[in-house]
Amino acid sequence: MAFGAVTATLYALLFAFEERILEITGQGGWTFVIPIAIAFTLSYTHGNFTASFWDWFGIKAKK
Amino acid sequence: MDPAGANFIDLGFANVLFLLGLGFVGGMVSGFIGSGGAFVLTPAMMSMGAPGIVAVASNICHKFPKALVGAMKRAKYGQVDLKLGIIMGVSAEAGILYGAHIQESIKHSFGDAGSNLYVSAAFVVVLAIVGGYVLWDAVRIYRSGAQHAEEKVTGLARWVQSLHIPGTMVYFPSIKAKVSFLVTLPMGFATGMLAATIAVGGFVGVPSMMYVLGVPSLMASATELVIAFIMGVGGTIKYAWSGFVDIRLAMIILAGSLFGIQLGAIGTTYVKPYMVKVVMGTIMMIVLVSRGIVIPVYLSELEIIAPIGSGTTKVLKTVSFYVMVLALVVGASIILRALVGGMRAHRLELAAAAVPAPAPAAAPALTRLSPVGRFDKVLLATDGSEFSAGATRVALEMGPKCNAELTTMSMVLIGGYAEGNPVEVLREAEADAQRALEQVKREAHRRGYDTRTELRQGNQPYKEIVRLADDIRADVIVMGRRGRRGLARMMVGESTRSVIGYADCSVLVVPKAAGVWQKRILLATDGSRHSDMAAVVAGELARKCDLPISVVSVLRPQFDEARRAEGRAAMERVKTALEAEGATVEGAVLEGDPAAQITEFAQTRGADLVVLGSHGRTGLGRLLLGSVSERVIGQTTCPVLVVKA
Repeated sequence: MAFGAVTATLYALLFAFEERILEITGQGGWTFVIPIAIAFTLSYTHGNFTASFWDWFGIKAKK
Repeated sequence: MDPAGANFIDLGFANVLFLLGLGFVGGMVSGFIGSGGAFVLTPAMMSMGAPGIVAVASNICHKFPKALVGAMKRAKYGQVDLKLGIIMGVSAEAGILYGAHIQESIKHSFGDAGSNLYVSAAFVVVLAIVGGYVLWDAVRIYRSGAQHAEEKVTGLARWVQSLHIPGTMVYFPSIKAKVSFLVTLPMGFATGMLAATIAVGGFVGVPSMMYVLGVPSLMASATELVIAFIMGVGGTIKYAWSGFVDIRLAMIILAGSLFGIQLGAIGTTYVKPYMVKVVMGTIMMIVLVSRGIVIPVYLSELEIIAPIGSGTTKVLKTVSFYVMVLALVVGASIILRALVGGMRAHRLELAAAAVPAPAPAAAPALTRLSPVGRFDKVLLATDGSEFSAGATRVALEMGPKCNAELTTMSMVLIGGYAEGNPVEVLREAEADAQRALEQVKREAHRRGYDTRTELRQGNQPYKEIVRLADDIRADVIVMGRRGRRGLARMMVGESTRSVIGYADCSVLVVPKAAGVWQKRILLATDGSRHSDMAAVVAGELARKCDLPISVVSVLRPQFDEARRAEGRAAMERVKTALEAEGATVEGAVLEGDPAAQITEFAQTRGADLVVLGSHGRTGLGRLLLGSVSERVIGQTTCPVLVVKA
């Protein structure tokens, strides 16, 4: 649940500041780290959330 | 490249929903087959108005975090060969750079239409050849009824595994063998080139791992996620450096795809391995149709064929796009169906296991009073070299199948050729043998199985093997056919013959590249009581593994009519007896040299286990294995079980 909340917050921030973020990342060069950092961060929080999500529905891997 | 800057599009709610949905379906496919979920996203984003390069950049930026999550998930299930993934991923990066260079050259010389034609042609050629083969293989497995069996390693993979190029050999856990990285290099390169061309390197990466290296389907598809991650990071850096990544598009797709990839990865734990081939082959064939539809458009733009009207062009492109979407939806539907079916079957299994067994449970034990056909105690003799790899693989697979207790032995030679060696050398040999045992134990644990290990010292390996088999009352000894060093070297000819001659139990001789049987058992009979015992064992194995049996009797050219009739009758008698037990049996009476006929028949009928009766001589005669058995053991590429009474 916590991962879900963090993910939702991060997505909200991404779209709240979308113009500024796109302006910076659109410049290229060393700003490439920004999309990469965002992707890694969301893969961690959202990855954990989606894993739990299917667990809640009883969809789990076969042991 | 100029930074994209103002080329980022406005996102409407419908577009967001569409990308979330496509991401989810694509994620499910990627989680299951390791790739193939992203090819439809670039055209989808372009249809929303995103410039082509921004669509490509944003697609690749969502792929690497998705692949990372998928790879970590499937690594939890023990499906990832990290070393293979990293090695292939690095060479794939080189392939991407070269593939992108070719793309740019074509675009420079022939414009957008030339570039599109090149991409579509690459799609059609690769999908037709590789996809056709993958789907054919899946259909073949389905028709053979061997869906439940372990996957068969291809002849090409066996050959690749037998290659030894000094200084280039790398051990890969997924195949439990060493392969030269000179083989994986072009595979990774081709994967990268394809990724740069059609955005789905896995359509070459996964099949090449399965068919060229012999990696099991599920491990190949999981390992592809590691390759996709490495390629994705490299690609994202390249495009983000030029400012082309629209992080919003990438993260919207990621939001949907991470739900999908979890589901796809979970699905792999419920399905039979051949389902990876079914899904991959089906998707590839449908995408083939999709790309084939638009080829006339590009040919027309290049003025190779008569011009096509703009209305027709639009229709063809739209149909092509939705056929692509259909490919993903069909793939995801197969995965969901397999997942639901697998979960239901698993629940039923758990429910059945929870029901207490009925009181008179002694009946099965009674059928096992006879040692013939019983595989309760298995002894694996190994030295940890590649020559024991086949025996180890088979022992670890047949053990759990037969619910057997596995003992693994290795040994240190003392006296004999090792006599006079310094103590350090013997210690080193002991450490080597111990490492070999620990390696088998680790592999057994990885499979949720266990083995007792036994390190012995002696000057004649066969004596120690036979002695330990007696001590533990083994039902079968599993050993390699030949080797070059240590225990394996001593097994060449004489030791293998001696173990078969002196052991009281059956002996399973496994060539280094062979795997456990999953297609057909070949039983050779000469009508003797020893052959009848072999028939009992073959019948028991066929029942346990749900495999058909071929019963073969070979008539030598010099036989008179009476002997010929006897041979035919022997085959018929055994065939009838096995059929009465419910086995699927085919009979054949062959003529010629018995060993050559048996070997050839096994090959043409695809038999992957040969069962022979031992003539069980006593005294000095025990050393004479019999020329037919010996030649069959020496010539076949599959395991040979020599059955003792």
